[in-house]
Amino acid sequence: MGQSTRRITHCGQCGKSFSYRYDMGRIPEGVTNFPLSCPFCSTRQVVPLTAVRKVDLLRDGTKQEIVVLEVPENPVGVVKEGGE
Amino acid sequence: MSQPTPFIITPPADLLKDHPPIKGMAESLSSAYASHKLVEEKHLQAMGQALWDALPNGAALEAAKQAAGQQALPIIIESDHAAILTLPWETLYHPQYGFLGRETGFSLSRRNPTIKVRLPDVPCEPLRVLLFTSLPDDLTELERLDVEAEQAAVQEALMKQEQAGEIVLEMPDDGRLDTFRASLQHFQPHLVYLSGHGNFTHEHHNQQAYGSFLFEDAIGRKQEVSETELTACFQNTQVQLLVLSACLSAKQHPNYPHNGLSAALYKAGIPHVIGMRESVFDKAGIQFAKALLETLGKRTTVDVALQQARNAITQPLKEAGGYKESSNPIRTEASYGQWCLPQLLSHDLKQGLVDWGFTPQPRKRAELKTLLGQISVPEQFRGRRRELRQWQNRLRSEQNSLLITGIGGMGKTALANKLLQGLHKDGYQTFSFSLRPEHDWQNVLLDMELALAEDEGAYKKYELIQRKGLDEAAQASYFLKFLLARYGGKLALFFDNLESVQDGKFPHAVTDPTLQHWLQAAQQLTTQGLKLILTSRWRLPDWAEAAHYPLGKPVYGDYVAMVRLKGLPLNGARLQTAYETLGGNFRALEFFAEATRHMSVKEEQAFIAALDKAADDSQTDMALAKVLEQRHAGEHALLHRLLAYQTAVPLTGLEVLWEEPSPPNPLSRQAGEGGQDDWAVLQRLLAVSLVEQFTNPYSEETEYQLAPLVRSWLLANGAPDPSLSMLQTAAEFLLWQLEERQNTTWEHQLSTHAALLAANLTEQGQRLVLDWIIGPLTMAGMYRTLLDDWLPPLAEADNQQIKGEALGQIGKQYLHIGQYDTALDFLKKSLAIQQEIGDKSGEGTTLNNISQIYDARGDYDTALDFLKKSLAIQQEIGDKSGEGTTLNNISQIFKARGDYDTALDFLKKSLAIQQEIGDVAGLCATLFNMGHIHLQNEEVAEAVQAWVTVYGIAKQINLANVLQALESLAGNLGLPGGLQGWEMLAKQMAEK
Ligand SMILES: [Zn+2]
Repeated sequence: MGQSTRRITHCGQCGKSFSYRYDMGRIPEGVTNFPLSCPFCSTRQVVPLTAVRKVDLLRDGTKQEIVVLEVPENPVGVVKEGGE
Repeated sequence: MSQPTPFIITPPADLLKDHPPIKGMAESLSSAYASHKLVEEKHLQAMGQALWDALPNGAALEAAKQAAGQQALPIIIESDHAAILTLPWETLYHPQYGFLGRETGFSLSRRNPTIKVRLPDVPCEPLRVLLFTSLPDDLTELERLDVEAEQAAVQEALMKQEQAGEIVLEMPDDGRLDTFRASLQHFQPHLVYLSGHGNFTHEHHNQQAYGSFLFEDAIGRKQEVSETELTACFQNTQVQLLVLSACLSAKQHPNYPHNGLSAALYKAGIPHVIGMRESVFDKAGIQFAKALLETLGKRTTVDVALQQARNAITQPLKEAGGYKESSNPIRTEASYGQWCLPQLLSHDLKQGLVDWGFTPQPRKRAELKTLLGQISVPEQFRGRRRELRQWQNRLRSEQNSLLITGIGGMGKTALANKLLQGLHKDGYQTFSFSLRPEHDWQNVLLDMELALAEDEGAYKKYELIQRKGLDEAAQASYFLKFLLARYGGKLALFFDNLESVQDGKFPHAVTDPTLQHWLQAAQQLTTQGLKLILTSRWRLPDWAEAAHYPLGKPVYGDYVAMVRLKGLPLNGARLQTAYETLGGNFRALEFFAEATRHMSVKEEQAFIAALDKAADDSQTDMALAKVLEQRHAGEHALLHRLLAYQTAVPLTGLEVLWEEPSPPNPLSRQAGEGGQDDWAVLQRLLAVSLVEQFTNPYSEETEYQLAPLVRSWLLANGAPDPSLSMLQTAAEFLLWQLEERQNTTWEHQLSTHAALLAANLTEQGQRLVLDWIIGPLTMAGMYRTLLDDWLPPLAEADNQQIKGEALGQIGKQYLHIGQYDTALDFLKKSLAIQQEIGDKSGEGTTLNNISQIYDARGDYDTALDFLKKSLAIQQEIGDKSGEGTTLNNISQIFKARGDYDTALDFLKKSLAIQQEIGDVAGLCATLFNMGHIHLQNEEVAEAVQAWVTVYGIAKQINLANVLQALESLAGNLGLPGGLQGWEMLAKQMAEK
C-alpha cells in the first residue's frame, strides 16, 4: 500500500498526454488494470498493468518467484468498447 | 603550464642577534599600527630594506627571476622560528625590484618546513565558497564592520562565475559558531572567507599566546572563540584555502611556536591560510576581499591572487572615496601600510583549490517558492540580517506582537516568514492568513478549528461557549484562548497583506468586521503569550509604536544578493542606479531588470528618470507594466489562463484550458505566435517573475501560479476576466485531481470547493462537501461547524439526492451532540425524500441512523425494527459496507439485552463482511465490540487479543477516535499507561 508511480500517460480517446500519479494501493487484489479518467476529455479508461516476475528471498533462505504488477513506461489508456 | 621553481629564503636562526636594529624596527612598526599612527610607504620601505639586507643569499634572486621568465616568481620565506616568523616579511624590499610582496612579477608567501601534514585531495568540481561574516550586536559603533558592503563586494566579484556554474557561493545569515560549524560540514567548502573581529592574547602569567575570533552567540552578542576551538571546526572538511579577514589573525608571539590563528590553522593541515598581521581598515578589507576573490575566480594560484589583492589596497581610502572629513591628499592617498598586512602561509603553492576540468552547469534562474498556507514566499531569503536578528530576539523575549509596514515589494512577507520560521523552530504552532482578495482567509479558521478539535476536552468547552450565543468577538477570544492552551502557550498567528482589508484612507481601519474581531481577540491574547505578526502597507489605528516596524530600504548587499539569487541581468553602475532609484524595492527591481533588458542606454535613462519622479509605491507597477508590455500574445494568453486559477496547478491544469478561446486582449500589443509550447512559454514567464513555481510536497509535482501582484495588476488594468466556461474547466480540473487522488490534501479540497462555487458548478460543489469535507470534520468531532456552516446550504439543494443526504447528515450531527428529537425530525425528512426518489442506499443508511436514536433512548425493539429494515435494503442492493455497519449495530442491541451469544454471532457476520471488503475502520469498531462481549463472557484472553489487534490497526493508520476509545478503555480496565499499556501488551503477544 501507499506506493505510487508517476508516469506521463496518454489518453486512449483524445490522445493527449498528462502527468499522472498511480497509487497502486487503489488496485484491488486480482485486478490487472488501473482505472483513470482523462483530464482533457473526461473519458474513463484503464491502463493495463505489466506483470513482472521477480524472485523473492524467503526467511528460511529459499527463493520464490512472485509476480508484481507495474505501470508500463509510456502507458496508454484503453477505452472500453461501448462503455460510457 | 608548470609553475616556476620558487625562490626560497631561509632566514638564519640568529638573524635577530646579528642584526639587532631589526627587532626594534619591527616592534615600532607594529606599535604604530596598534596606536593608529599613520604608517607610510617610507616606513615600510625602511623595514623591508633592513630585512633584505639581513639575508645572506639575496644575490641569487636575480638569477631566479630570470629563470622564471614571464611568470611571477614565487618567493617563499621558510622558517620554523617563532621569532623570525613574527617579522613583517611582507614588506621585504629589493633595491631593484621594489616591494617583493606587491610587485606583479613576484608572489610572496611563507612556509614552516617542520610541519608535515597530509593535504586534502583536489576535487574536480565547482568551487564552493563559504563567506562567513560575524557581526555581534554589542560592538561599539566604532567597532562595527560594514559586513554588508563586504558581502556585496564578494557577491559582485563572483557573480559571473557563479551564474556560469563554476562557483557556488554560500553566505549564512547569522554569525554563530554553530552555524559556522554546520556550514563547514554540510556545504564542504573549498574556500572559506571568515570575516569579522579577531584578537590576539598574550597571557604572560600562563606563558601562552593565542588568537581568537569573535562569533555571535544565540542572541547576537559577541562570543570569543579561541584558535583551538576554531581549529576543531575544520576536522573532516576539505577546505583548501582559509582567509581570515580579521584583525591580528596572523599575529604571533615570538616566544611560542605555532601560536596565533593563522599558524594554528596552518598547523591543522589547511593547505593555504591567509591572515592579517595587524589591524586592518574595514575599507581595505572590503577591497581586498573583492580583488582576491575576483582573481581566484579566474583560476589563478593563491599566491598570485594574494599578490594582486595586496596591490589593490595600496591606496585603500582613495579607492573607497576618501575620508569624508579630510581632503588632505596625503592622508587620502596614503597606503596606511595596509597592503603588506595580508600574509599567506602555504604548505604547497602548487596545491589548487579545485581541479577546473569539470563541465560547469549554468545555474537555473527560476527560483522555487514555498507555500505557507496560501502565502507564497521565496524559499531562500537572504539579508535584512540586522532587522531579522533584532526582531527575532525581541519575539523570543517579551515582545509578542509585530506589525511590519511598507510599500509592496520591500520584503515584508519574506521577513515575517523568517521570523515565523524562527518561532516554529522554538516550538510554536503557526497559522498564516493571507488576506489577499483571491484567498479565503476563513479557511485558516477552519484549519485552526480542526486543530482545536484534536483536543476533545477543549473543543467541548468551545462548543459550550458557542451555544451560549456570545457575540463573535467574545467567541473568537475564547477560541484563541483554548487554542493557545492546547499548544501550551506556544501559538503564533500571521496575517499577511492586511491592507487588502483596510480602509484606504487614514486611519486605515480594518473594514471586515469578522476579521476585526479576530484581530482584536488575538491582540488581547498577546498579553498571555500569543505571538502575532502582521504585514501591511499601512499602520493600524492605535497600534503601539513599540510593536511597529516600518520596513526601510534594505542595504545594498541585500540587493546584490537578490540579483545573484535570481540571476537578474544587472550589475555594476546600472545596479547601483536601480538601487538608488527604486529605494531598495526588491519586487520593483525584479521587474526593472526585465523591463530594461532590451532597452537602449537612452531608453533606460528615460525610464529611470520617469521612475525617479514617480511615487515609491507606483514604481513597481510602472516596472511591471513595462514588463507586461513586452510580452507577446502567447505569453499573455497563458497569463490569462492562469487567472482562471486561484491556486497553484501543474502544467496539465493550464493545458486543459488550451481549448478555451482566448478573448481579444487589450494588453497584448504584438501579433500572436500561436501554438506555443506551453512549457516554454511558462518558463519565459517564470524567468521574468510574472509566474511563481512551487513543488507540491504532496504530489511532488511542480505547480505554477500567477504572482499575486501580477494578478492584481492585470485585473485592475483591463485584462479580461476569465470566462465562465474557463472557470468551469479550471474547477473541473481541480476536481479531477481530487477524484483521481492526484491531490487529496485538505487545502486542495477547500480550493476545489471554492473554484466549483465560483464557476457556478453548485451541484458538484455540494457533492464535494458530502463526499470529502464532512468525513474529516465528523472524525474531528466538529459537529457544530458542520451544522452551522457546511450543511444548511446543502439542505436547500435543488438536487433531491443531495438534499436527502444533507438532511440525513444534519440528523446525524444532532445525534452526535445528543439532541435526539431534532435529529429524528431531520432523519425522517431525509427518509421521505430518499424513499420518494428511490435512493435505496441512502434509505438504508438513514434507517440505520434512526435506529441509533431509539437505541440511545433504550427503546431496543423499535431500534431493532429499523435496523432490520435497513439490513434488508442493504442486502437487496448489495451495499456491503452498510451491511457490515448494520450487523454491528444489531449486535449492540442484543448485547444491551444481555444476549451475548446472539450479539457475538452478529459481530462475527459483520467482521466477515468487513474483512471481505477491507473496511478497516468498520473492522476496528466490530473487533472492539467483540472484545467487550468476550469480557462479559469472562474470556479475558480473547478480549485482550481482540483489543490488541484493534490497537495494531488503529496505530498503523492513525485512527484517532479508535485510539481515544482504547485509551479510555485502558483506564476502565486498570491497564496502566493508557496507549502505552496496549503497546506493551502488543509487544508481549508478538514475542509469544
Ligand atoms: Zn482524453
